[in-house]
Amino acid sequence: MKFPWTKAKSTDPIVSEYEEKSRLRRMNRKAPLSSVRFVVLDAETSGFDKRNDRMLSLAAFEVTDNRISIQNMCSWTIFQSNASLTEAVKVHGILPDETMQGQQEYVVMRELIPFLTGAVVVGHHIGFDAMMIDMGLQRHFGISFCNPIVDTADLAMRALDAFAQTGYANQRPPSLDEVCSQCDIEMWLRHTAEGDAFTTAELFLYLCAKRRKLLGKELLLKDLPIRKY
Amino acid sequence: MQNKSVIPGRIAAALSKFPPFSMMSQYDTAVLAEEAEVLVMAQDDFVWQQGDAPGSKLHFLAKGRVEYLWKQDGREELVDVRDEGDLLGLTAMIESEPFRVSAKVAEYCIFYTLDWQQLDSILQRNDQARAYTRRHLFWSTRVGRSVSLPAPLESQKENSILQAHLAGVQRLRLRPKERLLWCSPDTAIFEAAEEMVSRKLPSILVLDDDRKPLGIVSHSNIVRNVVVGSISKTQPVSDIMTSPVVTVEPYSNSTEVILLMLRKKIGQVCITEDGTINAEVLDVCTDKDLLSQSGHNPAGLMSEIRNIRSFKRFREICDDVEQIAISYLDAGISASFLGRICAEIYDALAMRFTQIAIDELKEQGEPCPDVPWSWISVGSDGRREQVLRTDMDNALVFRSLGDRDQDETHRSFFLRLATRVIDLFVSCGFSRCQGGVMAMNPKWCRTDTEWIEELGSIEPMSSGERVLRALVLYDMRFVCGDSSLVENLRDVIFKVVSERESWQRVMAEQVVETAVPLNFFGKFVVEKRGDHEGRFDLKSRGIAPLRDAARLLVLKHNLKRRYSTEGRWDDLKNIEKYDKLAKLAQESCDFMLRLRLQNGIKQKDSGKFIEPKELTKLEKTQLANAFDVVRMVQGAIRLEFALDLK
Repeated sequence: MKFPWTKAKSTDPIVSEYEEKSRLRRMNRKAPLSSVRFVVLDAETSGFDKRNDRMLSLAAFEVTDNRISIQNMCSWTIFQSNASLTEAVKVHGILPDETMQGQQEYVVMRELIPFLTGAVVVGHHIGFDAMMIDMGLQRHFGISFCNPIVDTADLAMRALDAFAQTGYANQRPPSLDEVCSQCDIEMWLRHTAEGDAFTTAELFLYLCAKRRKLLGKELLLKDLPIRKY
Repeated sequence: MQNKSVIPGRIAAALSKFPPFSMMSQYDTAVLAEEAEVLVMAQDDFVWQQGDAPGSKLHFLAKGRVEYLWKQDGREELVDVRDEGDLLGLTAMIESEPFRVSAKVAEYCIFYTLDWQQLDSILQRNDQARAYTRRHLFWSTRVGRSVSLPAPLESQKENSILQAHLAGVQRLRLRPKERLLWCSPDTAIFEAAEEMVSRKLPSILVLDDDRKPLGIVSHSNIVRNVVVGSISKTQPVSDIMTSPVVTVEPYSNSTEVILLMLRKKIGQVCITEDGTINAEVLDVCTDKDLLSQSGHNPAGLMSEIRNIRSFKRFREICDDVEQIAISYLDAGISASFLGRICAEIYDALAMRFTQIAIDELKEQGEPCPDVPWSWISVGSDGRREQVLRTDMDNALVFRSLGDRDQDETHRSFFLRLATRVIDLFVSCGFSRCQGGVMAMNPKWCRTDTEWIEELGSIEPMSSGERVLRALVLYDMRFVCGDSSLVENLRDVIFKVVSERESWQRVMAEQVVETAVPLNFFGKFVVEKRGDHEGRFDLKSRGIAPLRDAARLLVLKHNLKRRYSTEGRWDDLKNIEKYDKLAKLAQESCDFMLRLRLQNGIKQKDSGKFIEPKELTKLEKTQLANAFDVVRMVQGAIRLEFALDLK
């Protein structure tokens, strides 16, 4: 189906492979965690507006068999032509200059797609990162983000008593800092895509281990708060 | 993809805080980190089970705690604990055999898994890291099999005095450029010679217009070519100069420069801006200049001690000795060797001080009585283990004339002599012996017959104080005066001890009694209360048993030659059954002495008490090894003196 307001879908073979293999329904919900490929990612953006703001850097770690592989990590600085000094720069410290040195968003997305293919994407407040990637995919390839996602904030609320659901209306999911200090995980290079992605990956493994203890059995994919984007 | 190095870099940094990675190059750790995987485990997970085959990966524990459990006969025992910075699985990997224990996570852990093949190839290239892992191996395999002997520690002895010198000595100092004596190549020989004579310098530099060195003319050039040879003194210097000039960089190490001069058989080098002959000349340095700069070494100090008169200078020399000792220690010199150097210097001081005191007393109308006497060192001083000026232990012996009154007059003279000598020592920064082991104490200033009587009357039932006194005396060493007196006393000591087995047993019991401050898990046991809470006594629990054992064994086997504990163990190597043990004991003893010294320098005291927290991982491992050796020595003593049969 083709509507005038949608962009034409890219005919690149990696795109079709991505769409084919990455959907939640394609995955075996009863697969043990050790057999599932996870990609833990974090993006730094110029702000929180999905239409006007852009990704400035992105980092992703592969987690398979309960291990973070250092060799298979990816990280990119992304070129954005209209980068400006916004409030967000104060947080992640990526100056417009550095952004100018980055790679084209198209190139980054093209490298990212095969990495995401067939993976469950994990991140802290991953919904936002997924949204930014989704916007990028739509801009350049005319497709949407279709990986299932696991938010470590949700996972923390299930795995750790300290953040358990209380029924209190204004309860908000815990921040990465809160969870890490609760779990005593050292945070390296906070507010860089790479550092946060690595910390999140460690946190993810830790929370999985905790949840395994809680349930008293080997975890299956369905034991995680997995959802569609 | 770009900018890939940040996280691997952090992992490499985390690795290189701990041995053996701290001994590897940054490049090597970076390679390991690149291939690493991060693994997180929660409580009660097993990293591996007893009997599992080792995979291809090692686990570096970046965070958390792991317990090693040993299952045997249906029981499970906790045998060891691993914490941050430990490398797990090494033993199984090196021996390629199944894991002998189960590794259970006690607190949630973050591991970095490292590729064994990669690590192995790095270890093959890096001697120090390999030596460490080998010792580590010995330390970790105490479980479930008899303790095996560690591989000899190769690293420490490689540092020679020369290296310490190279590391610690001064740099060549530059003088103002105007002082440089030089001429152009077309200057007549006699003019150049006149300049040299008027400035009283042994050589003149020949420079071009850019002040680059062309050659050098020294006395010997002139003698050889003009006086003996046939060149006229009106010819230009370029005809006789030595060229090219040997050049060095500014601020070169003066010892290196001396070696260079020796090698090239020259008396001066030229200092240029970048150390080549194509740069501007800054200064000329002669062997005499270097000699005057190199007073800061033990040989220089020794010769100075023999000549100086000012008491203030004695104090300065002692401060210097301590400084040198510290710099040698940093350079990794063996502590026993350092002790020997310092003992030489302190002996020279004692010799000089006794001479000064005798001269002073003579001026006051009290000439030295005409009997042989001898100044002796006892205790740690006698064993040549005194590096810092913490304590002095000495005594005096003089020949008895058989007449009581006569001996008493002599004694009063020698007491005054000793008092003066010890005052001089104190003015140099030595502290008085707390136990009063000093020659100015009448108890330690005796005639030879009195000493012999005391040494001969020692019995197993003697009071504690007498036993202690005997042990201190057994380490006696002649310093100055008449050496035959001391030899005589030493003969008595060896005879008395070798005759009395019951007394040997008392001494042996003392060695065995000391409990080694290691618990079953190989963790250090610290003082529970008192001033030294949280620390343990290295001297009495580690060094003392080795020292006492060495003394006892040399007395028993009549090995008179050496005085230091280390030397005694060295001699004991020749006795077949102690062959290996003595070598280990020697090393351990040296290591502990070093540690104590370093600790003493840090804490500005005797360094007796060690805080385990302040030790590095490497030191902890070595110390634990040393304590194992102490246990082995105690076992050997038990056997030799049949203590278990009582």
